[in-house]
Amino acid sequence: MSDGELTAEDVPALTAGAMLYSPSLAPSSLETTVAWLTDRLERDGALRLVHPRTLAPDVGCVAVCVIGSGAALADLPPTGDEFATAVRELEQLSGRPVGAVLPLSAATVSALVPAAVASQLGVPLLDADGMGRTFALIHHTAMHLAGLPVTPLVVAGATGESISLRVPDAWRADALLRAGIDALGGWGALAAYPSTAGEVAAASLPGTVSRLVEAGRVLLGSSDPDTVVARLAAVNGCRRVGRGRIVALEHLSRPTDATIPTHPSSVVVEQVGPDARQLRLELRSEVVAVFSDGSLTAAAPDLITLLDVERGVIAPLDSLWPGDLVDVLVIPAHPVWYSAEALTMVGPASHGIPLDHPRRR
Amino acid sequence: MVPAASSNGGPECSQHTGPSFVGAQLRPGGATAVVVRPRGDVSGAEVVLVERACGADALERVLGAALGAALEAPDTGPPSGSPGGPVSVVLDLGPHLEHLLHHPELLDPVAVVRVAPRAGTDPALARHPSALVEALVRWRWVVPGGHDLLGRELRLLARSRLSAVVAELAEAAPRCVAVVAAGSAGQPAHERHVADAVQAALPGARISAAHDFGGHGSAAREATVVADTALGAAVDHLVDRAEAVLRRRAGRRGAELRLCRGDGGSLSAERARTAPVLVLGSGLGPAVLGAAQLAGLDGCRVLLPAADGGHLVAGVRNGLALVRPLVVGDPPAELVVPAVALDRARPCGLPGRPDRHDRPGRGEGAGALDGRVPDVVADAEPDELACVGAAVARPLSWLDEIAAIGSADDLAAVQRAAVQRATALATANGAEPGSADVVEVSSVAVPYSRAGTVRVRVRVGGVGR
Repeated sequence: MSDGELTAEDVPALTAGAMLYSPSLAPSSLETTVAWLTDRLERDGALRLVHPRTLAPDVGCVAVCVIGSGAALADLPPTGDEFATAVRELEQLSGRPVGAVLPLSAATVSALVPAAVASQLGVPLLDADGMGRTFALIHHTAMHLAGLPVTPLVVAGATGESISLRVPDAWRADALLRAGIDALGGWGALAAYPSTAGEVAAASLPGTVSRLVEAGRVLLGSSDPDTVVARLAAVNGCRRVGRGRIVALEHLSRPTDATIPTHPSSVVVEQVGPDARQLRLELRSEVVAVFSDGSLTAAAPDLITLLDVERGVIAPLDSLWPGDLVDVLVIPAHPVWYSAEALTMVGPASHGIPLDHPRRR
Repeated sequence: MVPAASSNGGPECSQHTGPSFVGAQLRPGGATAVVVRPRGDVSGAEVVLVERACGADALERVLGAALGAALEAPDTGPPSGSPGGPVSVVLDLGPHLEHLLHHPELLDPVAVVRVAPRAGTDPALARHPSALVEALVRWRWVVPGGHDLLGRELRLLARSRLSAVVAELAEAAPRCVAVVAAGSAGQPAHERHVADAVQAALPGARISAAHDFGGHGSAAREATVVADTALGAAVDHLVDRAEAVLRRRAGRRGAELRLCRGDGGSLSAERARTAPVLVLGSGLGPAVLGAAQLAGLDGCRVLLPAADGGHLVAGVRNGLALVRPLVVGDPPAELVVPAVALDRARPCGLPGRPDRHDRPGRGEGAGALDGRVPDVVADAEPDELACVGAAVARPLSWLDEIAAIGSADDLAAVQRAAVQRATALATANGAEPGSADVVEVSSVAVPYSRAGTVRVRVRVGGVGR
């Protein structure tokens, strides 16, 4: 990646970084999207990757992501027009032409599709996003915390159908969309947060796309887990909580609430070494907390991810097996997520774990 | 101590009194066969004959020699069989089939029929992402239809379009057709309807339908059925050749042919004819098991020499190799069938290094890990190890499904049903009825899906008949 450009050669690193910031999917589930983005960048040339401040403040912007299940997308891949359709329909609803695109959440498949749609539309990709990782709901963004409305929004499906939505209260958006997403096949192309470059510059998290490429290069540059952790520490403050073998995968391990997709589950890791602590990872779509011998060690909004020690690659949450040897890694989120308001929205209590975040104890 | 997986094998036979098993491997340019027998006093196996040959009739020559040696050896009967029963012969075709996949000019071209709500509007999404898979495909059609992951219909099957596609297929007259429908792992109705229509129009064609293999991800499912149908004729031909040798040489005692699976297990010759892609991806997989068997270990980490230097590492647990989905080509295309998980070993992960990775990482205190598995460094020839692994390969099955649960009881029921289906598959693959047991079960929540959506994977192993 040269300054201000994203090329086809950057896609492997972008993908590896996207998996670090959300280990929810195996790389094979991204295979089709990766091939699509690579092909687009080879056909259309390098994509402009710019900080929102470099654009005129009144340039129209829109946040794009996959809403719903990446596993569903892997089984029902996009035909290629869904994201552009969602952006074009949102332009009509908002009355503002789109001159730049940013990821709603720069992680997993949602880090890749904004680049593909920016290439399709011939507009720059903003080096910024709304989450700095992935949270469960579309109003869990820095833009929402800054007061930008999530709607109007448009979701377009691989079925050729689309849904548009306006809500006065942002938190209602996911609730209203959920049944529609199921009917579209489990995922949809979302275009939301119609805004200007000036608003995005003030409200989004800057540098999060280029950070993915940087982190991805670390992951691709070594398969030695100790080297990877040490190098990631320099990029994003990554630290290792422990290394151990997965000994149990449990389901419905906490009360389920209807507001967040994916039922609660748990992964138990027996740490190797003389202290042999037990690490208990609480999961929703991401790892939301780590307990070490019963003590809360890390929790959302911290990004908690697993590194497959034998292979030196991120261990996807949809492919875990008892017996896997993993490093449990914790990466701090953007500081905006540790405010009292943000912790109420995305902290451990929002996942049914009624404990203060370790940073606030 | 690091056990070494080497053999005393050679053209000479050693004295033994136990049952003998034949394992063989066909690879580009040659074939190898071994005769092995279980060690009487300890676990594992030992090699009593190694036979190698080159040329067009290499397979016949090595199989004939090995079978002859096995028949001549005194036989007190297998542990689970009667004295003088058929000789077990397990053939590993993996290296040969992978060679064919990389040479599409040696295979019949494939026609792909996708069933999806809409056709791709971007050329990159209208084709398969893997160049290797795409090189096997000459024709493509899309029939509107399909389901979601949990089997809910997304679009009615477009029967008029299906009729038009079938007419075009009949004109093109491909010998190999791959049918893959969105969501067919959860609801195969559309895919079956299309496959039946194609079969009616092309009765001589080999049709492979994705729901027969389960799994997840349209790219992986399409790659699986493309490879399956493309390799069908080759597997048929090779099984014919091997069975002809067995008929000629086994005499009244007889011999039973099975084929090696990519996950280090085995399946019956008939099952291999109907699902040839299950035979793909063997080769190094059985070599992992072979090395563990020669070292007499049911649980270990095996290091095999890599062709380009260094080592490949794999794990063995309960006598079976650890697996993950098979990948072919570079850049890799994933299939939905399992293969032995092999990774390049890092120097710091090699035996004897104080920083082997199942020790704690730096900064967390050093110390030995109680109960860690031993390492086996394979120093026998890879083809010989593969043949040993093939000879002792158990009939296995693998299931990978998406299901919906509402309670812990639901999950238990889903797992029970999956185990029953996997057990039936293991029996179809040649396991003695009643011998199959669950090797591994994994259930994980599917991220960002409706609450209660789980991915269930089951591995079942049996004892060969």
